[in-house]
Amino acid sequence: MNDMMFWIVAAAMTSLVTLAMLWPLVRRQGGSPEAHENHDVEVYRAQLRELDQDLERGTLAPAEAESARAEIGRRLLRAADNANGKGLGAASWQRPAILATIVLVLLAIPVASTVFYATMGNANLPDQPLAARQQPPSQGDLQLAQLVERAEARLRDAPEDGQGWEVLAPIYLRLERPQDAANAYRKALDINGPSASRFGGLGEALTDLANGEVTDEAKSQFERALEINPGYLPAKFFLALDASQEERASDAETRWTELIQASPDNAPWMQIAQAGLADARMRLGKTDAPAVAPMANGAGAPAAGADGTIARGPDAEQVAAASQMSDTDRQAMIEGMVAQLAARLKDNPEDVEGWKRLIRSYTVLGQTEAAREALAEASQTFAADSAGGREIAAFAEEIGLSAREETTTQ
Amino acid sequence: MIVELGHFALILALSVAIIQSTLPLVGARGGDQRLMEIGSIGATGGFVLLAVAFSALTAAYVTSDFSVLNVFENSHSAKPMLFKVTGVWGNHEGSMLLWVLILAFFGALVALFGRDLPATLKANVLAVQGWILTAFLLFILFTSNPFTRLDPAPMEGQDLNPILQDVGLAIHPPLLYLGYVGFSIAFSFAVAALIDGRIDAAWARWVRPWTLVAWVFLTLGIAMGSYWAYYELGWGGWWFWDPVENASFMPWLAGTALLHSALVMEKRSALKIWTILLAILTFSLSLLGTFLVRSGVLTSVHAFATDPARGVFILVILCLFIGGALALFAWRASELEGGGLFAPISREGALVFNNLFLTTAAATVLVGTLYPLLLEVLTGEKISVGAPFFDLTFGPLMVPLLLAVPFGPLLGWKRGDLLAAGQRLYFAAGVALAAMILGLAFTGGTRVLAAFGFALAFWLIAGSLTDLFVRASFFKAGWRKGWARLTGLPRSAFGTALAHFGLGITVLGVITVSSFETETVTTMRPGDTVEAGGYTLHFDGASRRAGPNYEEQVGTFTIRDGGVAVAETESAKRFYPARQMPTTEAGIWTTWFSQLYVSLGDPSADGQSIVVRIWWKPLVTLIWIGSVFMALGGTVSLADRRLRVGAPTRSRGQARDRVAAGA
Repeated sequence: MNDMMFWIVAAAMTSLVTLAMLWPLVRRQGGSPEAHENHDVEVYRAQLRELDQDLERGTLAPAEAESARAEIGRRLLRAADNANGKGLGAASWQRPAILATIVLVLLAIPVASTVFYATMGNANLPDQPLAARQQPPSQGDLQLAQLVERAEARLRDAPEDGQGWEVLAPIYLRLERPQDAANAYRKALDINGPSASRFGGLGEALTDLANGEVTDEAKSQFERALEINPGYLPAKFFLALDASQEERASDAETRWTELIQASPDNAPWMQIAQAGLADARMRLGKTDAPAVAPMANGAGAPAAGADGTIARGPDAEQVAAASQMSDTDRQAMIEGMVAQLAARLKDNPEDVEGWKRLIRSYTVLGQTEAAREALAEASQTFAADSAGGREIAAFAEEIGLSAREETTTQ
Repeated sequence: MIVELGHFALILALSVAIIQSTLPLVGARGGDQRLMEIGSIGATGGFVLLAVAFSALTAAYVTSDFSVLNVFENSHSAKPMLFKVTGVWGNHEGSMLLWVLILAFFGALVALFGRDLPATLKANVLAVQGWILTAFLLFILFTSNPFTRLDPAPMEGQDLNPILQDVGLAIHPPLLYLGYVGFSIAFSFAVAALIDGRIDAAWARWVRPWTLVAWVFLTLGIAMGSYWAYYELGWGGWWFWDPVENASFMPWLAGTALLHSALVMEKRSALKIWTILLAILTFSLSLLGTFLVRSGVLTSVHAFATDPARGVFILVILCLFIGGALALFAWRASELEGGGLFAPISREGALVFNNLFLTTAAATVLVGTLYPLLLEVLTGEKISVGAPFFDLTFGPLMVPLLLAVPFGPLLGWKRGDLLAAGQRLYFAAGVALAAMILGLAFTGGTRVLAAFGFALAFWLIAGSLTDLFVRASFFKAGWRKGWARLTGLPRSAFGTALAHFGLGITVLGVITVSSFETETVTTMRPGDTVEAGGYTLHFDGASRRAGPNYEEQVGTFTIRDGGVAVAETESAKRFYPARQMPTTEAGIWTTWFSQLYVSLGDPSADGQSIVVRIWWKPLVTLIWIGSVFMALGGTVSLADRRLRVGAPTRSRGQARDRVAAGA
């Protein structure tokens, strides 16, 4: 519907513009233009008139005016001489040429614009003003905001309230205010003394501040946390992440393995830990399967860094933008790109590489179900014995994914 | 749908621009009126289409439509409405859209007001405008499309760079672009003349007003940018010789030269070919400015190399237009008819002198701007050519030029009398001398250069007034008659005097502030005081506040004069969480033309005291006030009704009617 409206308005715009451009051509006869010299004559006459006005107002000395008049007069005479009997001539185009031009314009504007737009535009994508998309903030959010404000106000009055900082710090972290979180953890450490969770929290805040990179400063916080409590898993996680980020593969392998063994199965970091381990193993050459993309950075979300995970190949700027984004934004951007890729594959399914990229992207994003669906769709597109089909099947095996049909039978 | 319609309108504008750049040209060669008229319609239609596209993007910003990548990257729902709108051109894609919108706007003006122009000249001009428009529309659509979509749309945007969230910077780019792009008209006229192989008399009269318009906007734009940098960056400097600033200063220097040479051409038909060359050079420098700022080559040559699509595209446009125009010039210039002759000592001669120095100055700035870039490309060595280089090269170049300024308007056309002009300037020379002596006396004879600078400034100011005085010939004709003559002077005479007066004012501000400003950096606790510029600054205390999309730490200061509180000022450090960026909001207190400038640094570790920088800036506002006078002079000159050009008509009666209507 939206789509229809767009094309109607677009067509109206196009025809209006095209007809306007054709207007001079379809009029019966254009007059022939004036000769240049006639224009020149008129300009010089205007100058003479101004000269007289200047003289009247007394802003020009009579002697100066005389010499100027002589000069302009000379030019005027020469121009008038040249102009005599000279028109630019009615070398006007003949009918066939004009007709051809009309047809050219009539075709060129609409066809070029439409074709060009069709390749670049998204006619079916409606406007999405924020007001229309926003749900009113839930009761819980409002309360949280109020609570934070109240706590902040209280801490301004009583900054020595260690318990207050302790409570506020993780909330800041969740609200993506890492600078505030870091401050709060530092205060809590100052007032309440060292603890594994405070050091760990500070390290996490510092990591967030550095856009997901475990900095040396953050690393030392995690190490202190482990000194206090050697079994503190979050600190282990970030140290393992640091090893991965710095590409110390064997160190990373040990650390990830340790973490996975020590963690309960439903720990929130399990997925990243598995991916990190696989990546480290691959780097060590222990498995030839290229694992799921390793997280180049980003504590919560696997990032856009690994090649092939992003639809349509983002340019350097997008990647730069992605690395500056907060994790949720980054996630949203990546999801947007993946969605673009998915839409493109719907229109143009004969793209093995595209399918592989889509499936891998879903896997990286943790959307295993969607990855299976995509795999199923790809398997339907390419016959099992065709080159494409074989490639898809091999790829699925490579990343350890089975099509949905099989999972349902399990 | 609005966003997509904007995208479609942008593409439609490209199709129209392509037609506009070809058919009128063919028409002009073949003498076909109908084909030539397409140029006017295309120029107007293109402007309307780009206005639609621009409005669509603005609508997306206003409604925070984050499904548009550009809005997502540069806006935020919590941003004040004003900055949502100005955010449209606060980024690369949007500002390029504004650039072409203004280009199309000027093209439409030529189409609408150019009825008096010879038809072939107009057609050629619009075709050349069409080329520029086509090139930049292709650039936008292929490398910097502001209508790229995101689906699904993120819930929140990344916010505009906070230092750009400022009223000053909101109006700076449009002014600057009106200037840059305005020179495209002079360029198009020049290229059209080269294509046609002749310089119409109307050409000369058209180039000056268009150049004036562009020059006025560029002057205001540069002044605005300079004032913005002064109060927003927190360093208290008003000009940094930064490549971005130089990028706008070079076209200004060349444009100022063009303005003066166009004057000679209009009045005396001389310097025609030189003016054509200058018109080409001025717009070329504008393009170069666009290239420098937009390609990313300035941030780092290497960043440019890693994402070269944009830079290379603009570079190609640059080479195509500059190279093409200069090649055309080399090929055709010899066929053009030269202009009138004049003696070296004459108004023309003075303007040539002006041109010589201004273009040399522009070349100096060009070298200072590009040399470090070239060096980095060739050797990888990073050097910075800063104020010392420009002080040593640009400064001395300006001195003879400024000394000569008052002479110019007093010399007669064709052959002038230097001695007579000098005699008329006795008064101005006296004022300048007095300024120098006073300057030396007040500084105990230690600041010779500063005293000389004062003399120069007052020489310009008094000289510009002398010009009006002499023209009204108060002495010869008596006061009453003199007054009548003064009010009867053509506006362009006032324009000249105003602009030169403004130049003097700016020079006065520059000299005073660079010679006599004081800077104090100190740590202050609430209750501490600091002396600056004869005033006492008392630190009242610091507090925290929250803005719509930032938090700030505010320091409050009371300014006392001899123990009496005369003003309060606030200086703040803001923090924008969306971009994790801090900005400084300097506290500025203006008294007369001088300012006390307070900027907050970091608080000490214990949070009790804070680093405060205090500058006393004597007469600093004169720098910008002078620029406003210059722009005002340009505007007054523009309003000179003698700029109208009559069109040829077959019968004399019609001609008279039209002249009457135009007067």
